[in-house]
Amino acid sequence: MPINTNRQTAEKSSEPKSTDKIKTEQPQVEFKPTDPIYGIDDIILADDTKEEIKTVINSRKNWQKVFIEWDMRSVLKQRKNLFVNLYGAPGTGKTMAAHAIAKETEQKIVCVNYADIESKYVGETSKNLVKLFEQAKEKDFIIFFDEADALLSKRVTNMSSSTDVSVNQTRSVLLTLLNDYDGMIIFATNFISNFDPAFMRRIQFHVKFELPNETMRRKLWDMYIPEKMPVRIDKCILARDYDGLSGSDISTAVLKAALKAANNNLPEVPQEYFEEAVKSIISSQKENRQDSDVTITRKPISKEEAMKQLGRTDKGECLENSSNERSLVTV
Amino acid sequence: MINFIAAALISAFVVTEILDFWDELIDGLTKIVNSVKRLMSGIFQGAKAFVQKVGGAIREIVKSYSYSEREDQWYETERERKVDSSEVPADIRSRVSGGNRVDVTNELELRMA
Repeated sequence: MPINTNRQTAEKSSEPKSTDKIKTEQPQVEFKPTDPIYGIDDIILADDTKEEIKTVINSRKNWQKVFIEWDMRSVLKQRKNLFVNLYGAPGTGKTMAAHAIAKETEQKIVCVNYADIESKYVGETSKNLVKLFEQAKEKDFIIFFDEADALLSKRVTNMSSSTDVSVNQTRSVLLTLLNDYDGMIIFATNFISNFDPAFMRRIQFHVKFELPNETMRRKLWDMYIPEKMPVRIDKCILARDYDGLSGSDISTAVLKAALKAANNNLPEVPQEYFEEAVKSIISSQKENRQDSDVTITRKPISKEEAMKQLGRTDKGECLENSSNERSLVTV
Repeated sequence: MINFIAAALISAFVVTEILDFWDELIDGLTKIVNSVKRLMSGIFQGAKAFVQKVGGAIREIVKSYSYSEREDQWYETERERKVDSSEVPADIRSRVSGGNRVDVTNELELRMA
């Protein structure tokens, strides 16, 4: 008499049938172009930065004239594309500028972050890139790579793992795609020094975004405090006394101050709340900067080397007339 | 009177700056010691501190040595921090001007005593 028939039936039905396909396809990545949000007049930029952005816009508008009418394409067979790199401190308007370029050139834009294309499956990241470029070519939208240093950073020279191989493969595929592409791509980064030189030389325009000066900060305070918000504030003092803030910092400070006033049921947002919010932002930036200026490396060493550096014998006793300075013992 | 107050304020500012430099060093060294204990169950053995000018920037370097019983392995941990030249005490700043690595272990030990 068979036992556990129900269990046997259940096990049997759960076994894959030979006719069943084991699905291995990865979820398809889709890139949806959107209408750009900001125009050139929506951004507060330094005059020279704004002029450079306008140069980029006009270059795009005159691309047809230069490359087709004046036949530049016969001379620059591999440089028929327009690549722009916007670089500088975080929160200084790079993303807004990318939108403004798209708006002024009347094109849609796709904002791509590395996380959008990266895949844990070997080879899939490259495929996602290929797909992105194909769609951009077909639908004629601007590709905007935000945090582009993740994608364009220096290739690995001492490859010691499959991950390193994969990283280099992605970079190589991207280089080929860039060479064959004849549209517009905008990159944005906080870390231009991380870019691989091969990508640097393919980019025609590098536009630097600086932190705003006092005049720009005054305009930013005006821009980010809505007209309907009741405030008791001297924006000139805020602009003058608190430098080192980006546009993004100022918008964050306005939000924090407004929320605090609302939480405390105040009829208006007082100056002190704005100053408090700004000081908090500056303080956290200072701590962040200190951490980013620090590098720590740890390596195994032999006992002999450690004793030599500490000026001790093998038994841990201090060496007389040690060429090394005395060491600290304990903290 | 005004000159005296100004002088006192300036001195206080200078003293504060120097204290910040040593405070940062001590803080960095403390973090290393704690991480050695936490991450490696290691025993901190000693450290040396240097200041050096590298390519126009001044760097504060702490080399510490620890032993992990669990791994039976000695380690050297190097913590390097870029510092503004205004942070560095004047006497040390003058010694690093030649690009040499200046050993400030003794000065640090005095501050910690």
